[in-house]
Amino acid sequence: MGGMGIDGNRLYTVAHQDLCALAHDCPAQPYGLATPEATAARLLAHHRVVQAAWERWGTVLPIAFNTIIRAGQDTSARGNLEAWLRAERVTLKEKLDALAAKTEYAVQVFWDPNLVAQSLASSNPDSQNGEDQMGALSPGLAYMHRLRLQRQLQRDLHARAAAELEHVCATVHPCAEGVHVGTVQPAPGKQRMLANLSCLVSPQGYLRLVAELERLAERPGLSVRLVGPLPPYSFCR
Amino acid sequence: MSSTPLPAPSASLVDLLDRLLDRGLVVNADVVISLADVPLIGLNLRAALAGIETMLSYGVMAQPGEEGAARGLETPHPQAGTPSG
Repeated sequence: MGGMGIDGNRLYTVAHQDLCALAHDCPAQPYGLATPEATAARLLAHHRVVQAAWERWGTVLPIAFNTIIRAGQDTSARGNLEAWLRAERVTLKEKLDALAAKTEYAVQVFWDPNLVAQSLASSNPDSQNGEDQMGALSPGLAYMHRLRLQRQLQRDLHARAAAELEHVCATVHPCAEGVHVGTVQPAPGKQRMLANLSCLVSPQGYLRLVAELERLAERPGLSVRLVGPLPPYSFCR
Repeated sequence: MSSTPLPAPSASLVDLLDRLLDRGLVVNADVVISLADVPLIGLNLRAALAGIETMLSYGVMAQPGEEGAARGLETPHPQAGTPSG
């Protein structure tokens, strides 16, 4: 794995008994905000090392980006890393054992609120009747009436979002050994992200997850993005 | 985005950003250098990385890290080490 480290630095191993850390030398200061391209390259370099180690050794504990260990007055950085492995060995072994043969997948569920709103409006008799009555009202009353219908539609939309989210979580949980709920991210076009989950799954759990997500994607207005396999970034704390 | 979840695509930079910065194992030791800048990187870069991905998808620029990574820093700095996994 030689020069795969950040900025092309050479990787080396620091071992204690049956534990091994991959590291490279760097200046004793956090990586700051360089250009987006340079920072992206560093983030990708970190990920590629984690990914390569994971593919080679099976189980890894990915350490957060920008984790830099300094030298002490009488100790080297490498010595401090080894001392940390020694001090944390039992905890680290427990974490590694818990992650053995498990994989992280990102599950992102999207919906189109406009599409769902149209569906809600067309299936709601109150909304239909309200639109029909609008022509018989004065402009002021019609405005108030339209406002009331819009507010009701917003409430229905929020209720539908909550129900869909609950359904997504109930669908995913039985397939996964662990679920991490992330913040929703911007989505392309008119889509909105409804759920941004990280799932830790066994090989059998993965097959169940895929089958359940395929069913989920058939629900009107929903689409699903499954990303992975990934090293277990979200499940090593 | 796909309406069906298969096949699982590769992770994008945006997918990885939260995982690399906000998750992963934390080394709780007094020899770890302060990470106060990390949230700033996360906040400022999210939009920029999304922009980079768009450019990459249209072939406007090279994949970061493949050609653009600085290879001139091969000289080891013995004072510190970055664990990578």
